[in-house]
Amino acid sequence: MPLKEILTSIRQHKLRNALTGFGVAWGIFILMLMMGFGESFQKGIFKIFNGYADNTIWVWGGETSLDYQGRKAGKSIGFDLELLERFQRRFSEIQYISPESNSPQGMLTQYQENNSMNSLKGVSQQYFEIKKLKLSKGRYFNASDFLNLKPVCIIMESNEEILFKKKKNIIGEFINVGGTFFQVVGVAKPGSMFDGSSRNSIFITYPYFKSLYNEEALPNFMMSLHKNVDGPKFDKQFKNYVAQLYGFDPEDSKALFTYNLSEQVSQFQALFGGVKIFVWFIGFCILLTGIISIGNIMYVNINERTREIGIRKAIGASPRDILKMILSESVVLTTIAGMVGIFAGAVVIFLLNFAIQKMSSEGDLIRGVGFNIPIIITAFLILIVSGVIAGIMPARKAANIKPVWALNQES
Amino acid sequence: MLISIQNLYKSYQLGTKEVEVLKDVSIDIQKGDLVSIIGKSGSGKSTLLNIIGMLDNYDRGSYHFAGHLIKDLNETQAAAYRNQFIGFVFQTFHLIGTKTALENVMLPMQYRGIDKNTQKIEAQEMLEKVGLGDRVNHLPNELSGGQKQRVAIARALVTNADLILADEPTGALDTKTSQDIMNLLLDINKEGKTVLIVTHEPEIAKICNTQIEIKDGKII
Repeated sequence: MPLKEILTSIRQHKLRNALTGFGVAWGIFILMLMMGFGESFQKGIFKIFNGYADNTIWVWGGETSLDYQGRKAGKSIGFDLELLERFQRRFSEIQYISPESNSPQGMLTQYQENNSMNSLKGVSQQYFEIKKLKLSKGRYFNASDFLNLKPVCIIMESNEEILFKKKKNIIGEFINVGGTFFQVVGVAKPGSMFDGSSRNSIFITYPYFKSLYNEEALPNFMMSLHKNVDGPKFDKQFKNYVAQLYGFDPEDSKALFTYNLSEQVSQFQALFGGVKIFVWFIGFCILLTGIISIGNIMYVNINERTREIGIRKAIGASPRDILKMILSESVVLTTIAGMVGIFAGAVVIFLLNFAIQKMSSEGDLIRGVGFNIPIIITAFLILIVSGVIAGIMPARKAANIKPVWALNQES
Repeated sequence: MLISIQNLYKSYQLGTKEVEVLKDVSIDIQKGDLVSIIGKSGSGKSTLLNIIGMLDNYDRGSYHFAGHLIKDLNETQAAAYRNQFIGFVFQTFHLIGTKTALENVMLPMQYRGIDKNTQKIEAQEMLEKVGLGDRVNHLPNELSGGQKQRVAIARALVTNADLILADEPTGALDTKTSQDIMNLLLDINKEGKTVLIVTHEPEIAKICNTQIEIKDGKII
C-alpha cells in the first residue's frame, strides 16, 4: 500500500491520531530516559572500581586458630618482599603484587609554612599498576630508590595543592613527614574519585617504610590477577598454597583473610543486569498502554470505514489486501509516534547532558545521561513490532468483514 | 453463455425466523446482453445482483459464470473473480471520499497488481471517455451526482470487466442526469459489454433488451 495513501488516511483524523500516538511517543521517551539514566548510574558506580585493576585481591595475615599436624594454634601469619616475589613466580595468574603498609597514625606533613595530615604508605612499584595511579609530574620509584633506601616519595595531586600551593617546579623539593624529610620525585593523579585512602597518602618505598617503623613482617599486601582469571578459584588455590607453606590447616578461617574485588564487581554487574531488565519491563509496560491505544483507535477507524472496506472488497481487494492496509496504517502511525518520542528523548538527553556537564565535576557519580545507538535500534524494532501487534486484531476484523454487509453501512 | 443460474435459493436468518429471499430462480444471460431486473423494494432483486456479483453466497441451486461453477468461493477467490470479470455501479456511487476521481478509478488496477504509471494512464483515459477528463483531480465531494456516477462507471470499466452490474444507477439522480447515465450504459453495452441493471423504474427497465421481473423472490 503506497505510503501517501496511508498518510492520507492518518491525516483524516489528525487530532485523534496525534493524541493516540502521544501514548507511544511517551512510552519510548520514558524508556529512553530510564535506560539513559540507568546506564549512566551504572557507569558511575563502576567508576568506583576503576581505581583498581578489575581482578584485585587483598590479603591479610591473621593468627591460626586450629591445631594442625602437631603445631599449636596461635601462630601469626606475616609476609615479606621475598615471599611476595615467590608468590608471583609460583602463580602465573598474578599480574602485579605489592605491599601496602600504612603508618600507624596520621602524620603532620610540612612544606615551608604549609601543612597537611597524611598517612605514609610503604609500597612497591607494582602498587601503582594495581591502583591505576598515573603520574602528572616526575617519575615513579626506581631500583636505586629501593636498593639504596632513598628517602623519596610520591605525593597525590591533592597534597600538591595544599603543600605547594601554586609552586610549579616541586619535583626535587623536600617535605617533612612526621619529622622525616622525603624528596618528592612524583605527583600522582587519583585512580578513582572514591579512593579516599590514596588521596591522603604519601607513598614511600616499602624497604624505607620497613626500616622507618622497624616492621618485622608485612601484615598485608595486594595483588591483581590477569584478565580472565577465575578470581574465586585462584583464591582457593592461593590459600591452600599459603596454608601448606606455613603449615596451618587450609580450613582455618582465622589464619588468612582475602577480599576479592572481582566478586564485588560481579555482584554489582548482576544487580545492574536485574535493574536493566526491570527498566525494560517498566518501559515496555508504558509502551504497552500506547500500543493498546493504537489498537483501540484502529478499531474505531475500521468501524468508521466499514463501507470503504466494503467498496474496496467489491472492486477486488482480497482479505490479505485489507489486512495489509490496516497493518500498514498501524505500523506507520506507531512508527511516526515512536520517532517523535525518540526525537524528543534525544533532544531532552542532549539538553540534560549539556546542563549536567556544566554543573557537575569530575568526581560526581552521574556525569551525563546515556544515549546509545543499540537502545535506539532496539526501541525502533520494538516500535515496528508494536505497530504490528496493535494492528493485528483490528486488521483481522477488517479482513473478515463481509462486503455485502459493509456496503450497506451508513459510514 | 456468460451467466447461467438454475433453481437458485437464498434465505436469511432474521432472529429466530428464516426468511427465504430468492426461490427457485433460474436465469440465462448471454455475453453482450443488456438486461434489467425489475421489482419492488424487498423483492430480492438486490440479493440476486449480489449473488451474481459474487458479493454473497447462495444456499441451493447452481450459478455458472463463463462456464465456471460459482459455489462456496472463499473471500480471496471471490475478490479475484470480481476484480477480473465484474464492474459495479451503485446507486450511492460508493466512491472513496479521500481519493480523487483519478485515484478512485485507479484502485481496481492497484488490486490487480498493475504498475502505477499504467494505472494512471488507463484511469485518465477512462475518465476522458466518460466525459470527466477535466475533473480527474477532484475529490468526490467536489463533483455533482452525475459526475460521481460517471466516475463509478469509469471505475467499473477500467479493468475491462465482462459484466457491468448496476444497482439502481439512476436512483439518486435527476431526470436529465439519469438519461445521460443510461445513455452511457447503453454505449458501454454497444461496445460488447454485458450490462445488468437492477431497477424499480419501468422506464429504465424498458430500455433493456431483456427484462426480468422479480416478485417475492421469484422470477415472474
